[in-house]
Amino acid sequence: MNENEKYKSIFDAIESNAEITIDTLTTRRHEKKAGKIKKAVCCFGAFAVLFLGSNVASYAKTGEFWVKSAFSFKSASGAEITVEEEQQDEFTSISTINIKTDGEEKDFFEVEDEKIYFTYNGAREDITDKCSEDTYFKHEFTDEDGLRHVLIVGGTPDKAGSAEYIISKDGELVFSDVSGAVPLGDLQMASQTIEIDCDEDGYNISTEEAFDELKEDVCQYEYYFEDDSAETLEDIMPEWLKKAEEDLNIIY
Amino acid sequence: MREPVENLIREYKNHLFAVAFSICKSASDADDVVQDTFMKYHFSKKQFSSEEHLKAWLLRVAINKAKDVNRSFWKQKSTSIEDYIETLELPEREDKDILSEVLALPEKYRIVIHLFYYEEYSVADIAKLLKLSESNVKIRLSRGRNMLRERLQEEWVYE
Repeated sequence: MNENEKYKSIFDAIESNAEITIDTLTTRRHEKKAGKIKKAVCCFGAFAVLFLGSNVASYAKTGEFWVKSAFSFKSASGAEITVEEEQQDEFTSISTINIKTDGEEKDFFEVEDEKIYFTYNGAREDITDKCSEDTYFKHEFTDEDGLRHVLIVGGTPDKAGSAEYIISKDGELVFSDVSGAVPLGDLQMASQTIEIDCDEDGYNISTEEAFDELKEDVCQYEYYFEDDSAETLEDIMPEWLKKAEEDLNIIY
Repeated sequence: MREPVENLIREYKNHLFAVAFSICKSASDADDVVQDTFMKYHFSKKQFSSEEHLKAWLLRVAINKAKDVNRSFWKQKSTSIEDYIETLELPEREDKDILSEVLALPEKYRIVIHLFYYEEYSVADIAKLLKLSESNVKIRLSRGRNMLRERLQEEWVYE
């Protein structure tokens, strides 16, 4: 038996026991829309972490390769994000993002009696006049690690939303969370893959410039939606959020 | 063209389960992926140019969903992979070792290995399905096969 036949014979023995019918698919869809299964999608799907090239982490050069050490930070919503990078082999590194919350999402705005209030850190500021379908309220602060946190609230009282961006001292986007602004019911899945992989000639990544160039070549950012009506985050972003990202010069 | 989802479930459920399992290494997560994939198909209006196009789309959705499960903080860990492998009725004694080693490969190699060996896709088809270059696929396939050969030796006939 050759390796093809061997592999097939092994995986032919692996079968799903799940009963799948139109009824079970319909029930599952309702459960997802009701938010029961949204958490896993929300916390991975709506976070976009760009850690390659960030100066928050310390770089260590080993031979010809840049190996980034682990670093972590906290978002305004209370999530603790840890990024670790592991060099797998000569041309491949795997980056792992761990997102930990205490189970409670702490939003930094609330809507009451048709007014929008900014509520981060115990505040209660009426920001209704600053928010509309295409305008937003912005609050920013710098944490003890020198990371700049930008909190955005926009929209109308019946459709308000929020987003958070964390930017390094050098102006690079380290983290973004738009889960407060993007309609989660429509966002089935998002995946961001940043892979460092080489063809037979290899990439020379002995300099940080080459590293950044490589990142541009291989970065993939894909979203999938239930009815395939949207292909990118930009298709479902509200206008106020697009403006905020433009003003902040956010580039993924 | 569209096919009724019941036909696709009958035809492709185990294909999707196999590829999802090879990625997320958990039968319960793989079941979730399969259900979500068929759910996405059933409630979409997407049209397909051929049966091959439809199958490739299903596989691609399942692969991406399985990869997302792996990256999710809420990934299920209901049964260890070793315990699950023990429950399988595999043709030969050494097959459990082979399966363990296949599942121990890095994810990106496992995916191309599975599509190449189990789905019998060509390098070109795999590249198109995964939106990779053909040289990238060849490299992953080569490294994956070399790793298996080194780890399994006589148990894995290399041709």
